Amino acid sequence: MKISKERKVQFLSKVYFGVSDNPKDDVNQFDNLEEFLSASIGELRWGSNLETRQRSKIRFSRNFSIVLASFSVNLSFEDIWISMNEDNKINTDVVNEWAELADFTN
Amino acid sequence: MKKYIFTTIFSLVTLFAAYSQNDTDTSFLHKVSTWHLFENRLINVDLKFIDPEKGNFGIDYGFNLSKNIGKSDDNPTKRIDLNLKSKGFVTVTGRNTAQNSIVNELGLVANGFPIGIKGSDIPFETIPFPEAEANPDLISLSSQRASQINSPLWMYADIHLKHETTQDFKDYDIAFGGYLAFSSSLLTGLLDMPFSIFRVSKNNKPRQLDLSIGIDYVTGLENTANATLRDDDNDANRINFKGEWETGIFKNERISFLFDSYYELDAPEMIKVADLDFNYFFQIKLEHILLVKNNSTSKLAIKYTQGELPPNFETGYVIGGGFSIEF
Repeated sequence: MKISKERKVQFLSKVYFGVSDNPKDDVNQFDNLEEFLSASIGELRWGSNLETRQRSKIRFSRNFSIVLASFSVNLSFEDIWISMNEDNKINTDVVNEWAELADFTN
Repeated sequence: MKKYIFTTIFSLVTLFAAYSQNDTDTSFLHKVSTWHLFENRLINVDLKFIDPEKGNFGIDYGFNLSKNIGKSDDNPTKRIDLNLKSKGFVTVTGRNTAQNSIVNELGLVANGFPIGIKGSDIPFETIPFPEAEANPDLISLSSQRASQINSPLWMYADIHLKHETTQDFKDYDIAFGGYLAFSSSLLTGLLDMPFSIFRVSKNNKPRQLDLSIGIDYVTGLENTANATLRDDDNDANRINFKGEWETGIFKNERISFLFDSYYELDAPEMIKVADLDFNYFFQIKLEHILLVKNNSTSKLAIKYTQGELPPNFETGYVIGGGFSIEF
């Protein structure tokens, strides 16, 4: 059965929020999902200089890809990483893009 | 003359950096119009009011441009990036302030080597998508799984060429070297203990600790203020150790710490007598976000800095407060 884009977006949003709230590598300062989705990628707490920010995004992209795979959803590190470098992009828009790219296997 | 060269280079690089637009149109003209030399950029400027003895007003700036030039097909976290960056502490009074310093750097960084966990070691079972979707605790489950696969230590490596100068460009040296850097969550809890007491927002949490250790071959020291102490020994090997960490306090405020130290191996005797073979720089910064708009963040910041900076390593301290802008 084909999965609607709305379901994909809702699912990816929740996992995105959760992984960015990793207690051992927390880059998410928002208390609720709606605020998080309205913010831009650049607003997350990646770090104070570009190298630190890149490292944070590399770690996040890896963890996000692995956690999605554990839920039978395939989204490559590369696709996530490319999105993470668009600091001015709103999280809602990023999730919509991922919904197009991700492979949802039942 | 050097100031004009630097200003020109800075302006050109900034123009390139400012032109970074992502688009999926594949037409030739669109590719040309959206091509950018560097894929990533970060520019931050701290405007600060400081002690009148130090010039009343100062600017701390940093810009960093990055372009990926290589990556592993088997392990995509491993990549090599070309970095061009500059950071500086400048004041109105120029040479009258001990901490005025500008460091320009070109380097190659090898990113993304997780240590302590293999990519294939997944400590939980795969759940079918419908079952995961139906889980009411999906967010906390995702957070928990991310924590379980989190590598406790990541390693990075860098080689670089630096131009270290005072803001009037009259004193300077050239450094070539490299460093190993580590990001770790191992000490985060311990470091965060005193600050968590002052935290109101449950999600204003600490970052990983970033440490680096490296060595530089420094030349051109006859152009620095300490040249007379070097007895014509104008080259040096210098070890650099740096640590950075940041956490949250109160509701949305962030406090960050930077420690940067330099030790000259086999320094000339007079340099040792003058206690200039070991130098360090320490910074505490407290920030409150004022506005986030159009890919820029404005903050109110209070900053305390103490210690010595290259090229002259003159001891000084500054307490400043003002606006911090990041874009």
